[in-house]
Amino acid sequence: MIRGHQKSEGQGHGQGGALREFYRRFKKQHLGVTGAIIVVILFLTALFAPFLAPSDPQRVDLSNTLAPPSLKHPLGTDHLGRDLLSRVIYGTRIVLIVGIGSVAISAFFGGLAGLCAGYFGKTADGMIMRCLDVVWAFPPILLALALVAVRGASLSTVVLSIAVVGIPGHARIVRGSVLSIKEKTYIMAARASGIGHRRILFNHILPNIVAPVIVVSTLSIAICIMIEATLSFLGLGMRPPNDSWGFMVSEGQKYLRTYPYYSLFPGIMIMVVVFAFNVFGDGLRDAWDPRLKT
Amino acid sequence: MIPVLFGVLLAVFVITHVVPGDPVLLMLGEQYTEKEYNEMKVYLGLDKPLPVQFLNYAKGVVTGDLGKTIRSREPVTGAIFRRFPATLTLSVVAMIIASVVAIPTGIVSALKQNTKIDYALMVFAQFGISVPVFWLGIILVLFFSLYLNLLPVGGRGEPPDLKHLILPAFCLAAPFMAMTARLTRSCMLEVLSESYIVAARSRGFSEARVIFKHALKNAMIPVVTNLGLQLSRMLGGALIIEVVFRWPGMGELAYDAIMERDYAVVMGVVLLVAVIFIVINLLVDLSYTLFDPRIRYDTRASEK
Amino acid sequence: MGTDGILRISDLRTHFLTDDGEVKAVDGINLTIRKGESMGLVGESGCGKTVTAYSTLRLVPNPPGRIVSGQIHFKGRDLLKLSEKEMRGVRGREIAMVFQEPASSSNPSFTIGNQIQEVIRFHQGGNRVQVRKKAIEILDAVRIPDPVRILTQYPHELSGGMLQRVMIAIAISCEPDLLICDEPTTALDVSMQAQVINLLNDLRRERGTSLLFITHDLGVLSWVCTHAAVMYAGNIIEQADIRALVKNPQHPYTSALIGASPRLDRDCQVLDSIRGSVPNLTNPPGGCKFHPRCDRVLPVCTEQVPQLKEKGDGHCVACFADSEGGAA
Repeated sequence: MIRGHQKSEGQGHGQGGALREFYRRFKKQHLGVTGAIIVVILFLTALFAPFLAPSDPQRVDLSNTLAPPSLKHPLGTDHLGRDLLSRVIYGTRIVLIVGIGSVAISAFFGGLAGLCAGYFGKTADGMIMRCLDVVWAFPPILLALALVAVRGASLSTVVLSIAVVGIPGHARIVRGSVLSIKEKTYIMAARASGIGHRRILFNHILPNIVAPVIVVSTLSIAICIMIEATLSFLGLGMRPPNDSWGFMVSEGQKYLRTYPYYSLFPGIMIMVVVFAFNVFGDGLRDAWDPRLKT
Repeated sequence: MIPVLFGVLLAVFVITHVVPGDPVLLMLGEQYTEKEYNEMKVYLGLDKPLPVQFLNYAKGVVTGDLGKTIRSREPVTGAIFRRFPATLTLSVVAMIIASVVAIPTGIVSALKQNTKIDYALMVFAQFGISVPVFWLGIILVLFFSLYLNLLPVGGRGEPPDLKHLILPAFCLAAPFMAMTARLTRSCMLEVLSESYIVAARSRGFSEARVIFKHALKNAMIPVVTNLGLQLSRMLGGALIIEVVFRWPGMGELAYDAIMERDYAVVMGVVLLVAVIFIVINLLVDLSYTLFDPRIRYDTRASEK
Repeated sequence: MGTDGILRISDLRTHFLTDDGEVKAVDGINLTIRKGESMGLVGESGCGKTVTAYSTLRLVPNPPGRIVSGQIHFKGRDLLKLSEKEMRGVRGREIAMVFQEPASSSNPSFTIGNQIQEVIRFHQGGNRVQVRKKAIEILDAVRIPDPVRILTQYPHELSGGMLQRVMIAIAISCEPDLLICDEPTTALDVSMQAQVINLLNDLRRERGTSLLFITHDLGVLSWVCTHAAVMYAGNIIEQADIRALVKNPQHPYTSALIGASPRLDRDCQVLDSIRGSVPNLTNPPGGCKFHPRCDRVLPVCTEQVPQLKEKGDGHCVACFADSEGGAA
């Protein structure tokens, strides 16, 4: 019987080819590319904030409070006369620090937990997943809120609380990936030929979980930014001089009828940034494995 | 499930005891004597070693005693349950709004895959997930209440009426609406690519029959079970909405309690919501056997 | 190619638009099946057999595929010119199809009874009692033991062989003139294969149903089919009755296929394999698509596309270097 045939061309050789193929597929995701561009702009804004902001965001000017947008203050001023545009620009720093910081911690600890659970299986798996189920049972915002409330709101507590909330998600993804790789016969073949745990972990398992972790992390950043904004809105997050867009929205609530810009613009920024990370993450996922395309 | 419940209880207990500040002082107020201090300590059960305190706490929870509020010394349980119906109403209505809008949207998107409509709907859904709910609430209040004067600014209404319910329910529904639309779409697409759909077409059935009888039943299984999970998540997410709209539910209670450092109340709410989530999860797992003839329930609950 | 065929495909071309270009999955084929005949369509994976079947029933997913040109005459009508509504009248009633994997071609959420009775009620009508009776009759015809119980079961509760017989039952329930079988035995193990094949043969004899039987397995082919067409890269390169094809293959590809099949009645030390690989269908080789892998390649093969020519007794071949030597 003659069965099947090999794919003629198109697959590159080894890692280099796979990466180029991935890049080619990613370029086609128009929405994902847009997200990526916005993310890059965000990074650059945060990095060059001092140069981009028209004035010192904390400079109080009580003679010019709640001024409508003008050339000097493109987004207007707040109730203390501070330039809104500058505050928004400096806000990008908080967004990135909290977003990336908490996801990095989540991904590391969650990934480690998922790796151990998936690889070592049985009792380790059971115990680890039970613990994570406990964390998972709490609604994310409520949990983060409670944690920040008892520890007090500071940059580190906010980052850590949001990180804790995200750990089960990362663990689950990594565990799933590890389980599916473990089932593959080449792993069993490697074990049968006596290769030790560490080699298998590093050479076979880790390279294959990098991609899903990156995708989930990117999407997680979006969620973490949203949680941070919510916490700050409720007054339990970042406050000036660490400017957070969420806090700005809550500050603007009092002046809503006569001066909506205060709440409007920071909210739009939150939406744009969360949107960007979401579509970026989606684009990454669809480019990495077109079969999963939704 | 039992170990997880236990773990949740333990977690809540641990968090409560990590609270900085002395809970005894919180209950006593400004002036107190040493005698009153010790009496209060015994009253609160804080003179006993931690494990015993935990056992007492656990016993209390099981019998429905979650402690007392600081403000009025009334039982926490009562305070929470008085507020529960409002949050439940809000969540259920939000769920209905979300489903009624999202499911047909997802189906239409899937049927018109890769057309402009599909693209537009999915981008719109993407925004729906990305919009900060508190901000959405504020903007909607700005338009409908402050500018157009059509709807009230907040509260539930005395007696509770529809006008007060619309905006908060819609805001709560927004992100879930978007997620459900996307999920429906992807489930539909996955089912439509299955062989049995082509087989159904090969039998001469009309496209409507193929989609609505053969495809839909299979596609809706994950969507409907997901709705259950979303309801429990909504109970937690309602907090923000209740704060923005001054809706008198559990969330607002918890928020005020946080501001007043009334941790018993906060933890009571957190505990309740977590327990509801676990229970709903269990029901959803069981319901899978109802919907999908292929799955028979087995005890590996962690295999999610 | 006689004109009394129940199915006559003329110059059918079905293309798929992919990221890498336009794939010419079916690149101008002609095929005739007469009443009561069992025509096999054989070739490697990806040669266009399944696409041919889907095209006949106009089930090619669009996008990304579409039938570009050609005619498919069935009982006098060109199927490609029918409206969608008229085509639906043909599907299931006059032409039916059985798919490769019974497990995935049956709806997991409905009972067998539901699925059979749905088809019967849709095409033939009747009240609940009549439809149920017919369902049991048809299950009997495909030799399902205890059909009454089967009606209440779900597809996943049946074995592969039994489920495939149920699928055949559903397909023949409205007595179609043509039954298309797309590799119906590939997913089954050998004993179940035998059941299904014997069943198909008996059905053909008893009811006079014509069969379009797609397979890549030459053994199954010679068991089920009276005639066979060999496909390569979207073209039919040889067509004959089954004995002539196996005994006297004209096209080098056909010979190679036969040579590569292990046989119990022959001493084989080494199986012949065909060198090279299947061509890229977006950019096929010029001239005869098989020429890069052919042992008998002539200069003309790289420039011109050989047409299907009759050699006598209905045996047709598309080759410049067939075993009679030289172009006919």
